[in-house]
Amino acid sequence: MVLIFVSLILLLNLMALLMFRRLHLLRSISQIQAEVELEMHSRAHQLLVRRDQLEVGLVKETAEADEQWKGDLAEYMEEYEQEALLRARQRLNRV
Amino acid sequence: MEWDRLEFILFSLDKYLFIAYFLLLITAIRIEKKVSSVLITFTVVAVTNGVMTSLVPMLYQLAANDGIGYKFIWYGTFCLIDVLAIYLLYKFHSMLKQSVSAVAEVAGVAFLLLATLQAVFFTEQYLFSTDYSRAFYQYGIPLINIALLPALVMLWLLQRMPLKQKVLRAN
Repeated sequence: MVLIFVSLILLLNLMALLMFRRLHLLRSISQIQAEVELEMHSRAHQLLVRRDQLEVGLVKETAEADEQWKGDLAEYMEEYEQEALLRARQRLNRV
Repeated sequence: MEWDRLEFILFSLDKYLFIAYFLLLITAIRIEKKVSSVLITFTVVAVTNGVMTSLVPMLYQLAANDGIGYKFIWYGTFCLIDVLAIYLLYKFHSMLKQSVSAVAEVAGVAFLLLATLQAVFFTEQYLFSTDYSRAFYQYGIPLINIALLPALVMLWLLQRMPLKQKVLRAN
């Protein structure tokens, strides 16, 4: 009888531990996302600076530079999600 | 300070804790203004404390009976509430797509510690019939409950501080 109750409470404790692990995992994921967000933010800033330079006319061969800028922007848009996923996979084995 | 006095202070504070958490939740809602990890944590902590406070008299009556089943109801219920609290923390964060803040993680650790204390004390008392963890149980549980409040408030303020400084600098 005692054994049953003791194993029940230990089971509850184990559940608390597993639940906490999930919460902790969720925190790691959010941290990775925040990190990626920060990096992408600085890249977005650079893109904006380049756009400004294009518009003011600081860069020569405007058409070519404009095309390149558009390509970079598209690449940037695609990368964000993938980067977060990739890092999560590298650092956390099960996501 | 004598132990009796400390014990008295701990247990009388414990009763008002729910009200304190409730007021903290209201304050946080006024300040935060939108869903955040901090609000989720304060809500879960306040609800859990309320449930525990309201269940104590009933559980106490049941646990006064002889028999391990009745004793288990006391320890098992608290352990279960702690598990549910961590589950709620996890579920709310994932449902509302919020990043888990340090505040939430500390609350999770506190609930895990509480559940572990319940399980360890119960196991020791009824399986091994020894009494080593009694002091940890007796003082640890009210102490964790009470210390959690200032700890959460401090972490919350620390988290808000850089934000405020940034705004000041921008202006």
